[in-house]
Amino acid sequence: MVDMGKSYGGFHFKAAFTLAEPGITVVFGPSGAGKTTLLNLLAGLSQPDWGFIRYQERTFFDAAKKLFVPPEKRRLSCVFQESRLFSHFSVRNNLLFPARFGGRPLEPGSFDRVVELLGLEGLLDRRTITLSGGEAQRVAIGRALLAKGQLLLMDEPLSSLDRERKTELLGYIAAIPQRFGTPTLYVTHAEDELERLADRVLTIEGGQCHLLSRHEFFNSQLPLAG
Amino acid sequence: MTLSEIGRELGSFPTRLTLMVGLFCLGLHLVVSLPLAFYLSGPKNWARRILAFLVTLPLVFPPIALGFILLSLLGRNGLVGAPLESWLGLRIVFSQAGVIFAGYIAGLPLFVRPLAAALRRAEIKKLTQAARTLGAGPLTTALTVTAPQVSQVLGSGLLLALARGVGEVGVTMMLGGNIVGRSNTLSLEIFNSVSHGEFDRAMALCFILAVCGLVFYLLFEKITPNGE
Repeated sequence: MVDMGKSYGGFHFKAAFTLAEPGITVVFGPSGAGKTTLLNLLAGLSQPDWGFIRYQERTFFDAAKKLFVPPEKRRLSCVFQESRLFSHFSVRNNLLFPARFGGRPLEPGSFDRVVELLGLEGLLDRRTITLSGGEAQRVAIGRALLAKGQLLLMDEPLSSLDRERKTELLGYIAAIPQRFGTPTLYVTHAEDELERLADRVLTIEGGQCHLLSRHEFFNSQLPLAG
Repeated sequence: MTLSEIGRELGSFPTRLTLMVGLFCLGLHLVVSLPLAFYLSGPKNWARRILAFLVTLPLVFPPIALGFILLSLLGRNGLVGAPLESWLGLRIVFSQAGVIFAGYIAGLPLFVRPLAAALRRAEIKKLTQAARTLGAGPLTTALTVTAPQVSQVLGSGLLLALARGVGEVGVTMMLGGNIVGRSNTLSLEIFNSVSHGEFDRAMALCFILAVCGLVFYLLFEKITPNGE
């Protein structure tokens, strides 16, 4: 449950919604509408000016109580536009980072399950700089899954990929809620991704949020820019 | 200059003192300068501006002048020196602590400035953010992600700072006093030899420093193969 705001450089961002679970909620809106801002605020990578953020009985931020929980304690996993893999580690060690350094021990079988779901078998001993864009993003998704966040935040993870890679990865992403039971917040401005993935849609425009069911969204006559 | 002369100088007090200064500077850079660079890479505010100015001072201010100011500050009656001596019993001026301090601040900007600049790069910030969302706290992130990502700048800056620090003369002379058997480093000993007319000895000392310089250069080239 979120009710918060942040202002920067003359732009006022406001968000108030209660996230229903499980499945994929697509955060949809034109570029510059504040989608990435929303994700950064949820993840704890930036701090709202006012309001509160609560998720599953936990308060992450409360301006009135001067409470701010840092990102590593929120247990939310992130996949960013760029893969943000650690180039000084192999693919395998990137995947094991949350278990080794993030205090998120592996559950039995979870490593193999992630590797299998994302088709990473052949990549494990590769250096990350040798990966293609699609491969790197698959590893980044795997790493986020192994961080066992209670919510998976994805910020336009396919925006830098070509059409073919994108289609392939959409299949992987669509399978995540069912296979791992992790509710997902998926940011995009691409309508094909929205159509493929959305159980619900959180529209953002001009710094304002509205949460709609998939049905409501597709029946609405709201003119939404792509 | 003969081999036996070089051998004798290798075991002499100035060589041992210079080696000790190098080791202490290395420790100080890792314990003090490294966190300082991390701090300076944060958003600009007044505290950071003032610190950045102080860190850069040894690059833009003549060493002799800086040495004199430090001597006034750290001396027995100085603003900092007096309380240091009466409370901690620590005397920096005309001691080996002074020589170490001089070598340390001479190298400080060469280590901290490039490192802070590297840490401010957007891609480094992004990787740091990613590590935090994967559960790693600030210190773990700094050690396992940030530092390895800037290891080239870290290593090369450290080498340059050490090379500069052990060869320092101006501040070292002012703070250490160039006292034979207490604060005469290799570089100062060259000055002393020349002023006594011992040119062969000065040449032997130069030879030792030249070999050290070559080793520093080769290590530097190995760390930064692209000359960055």
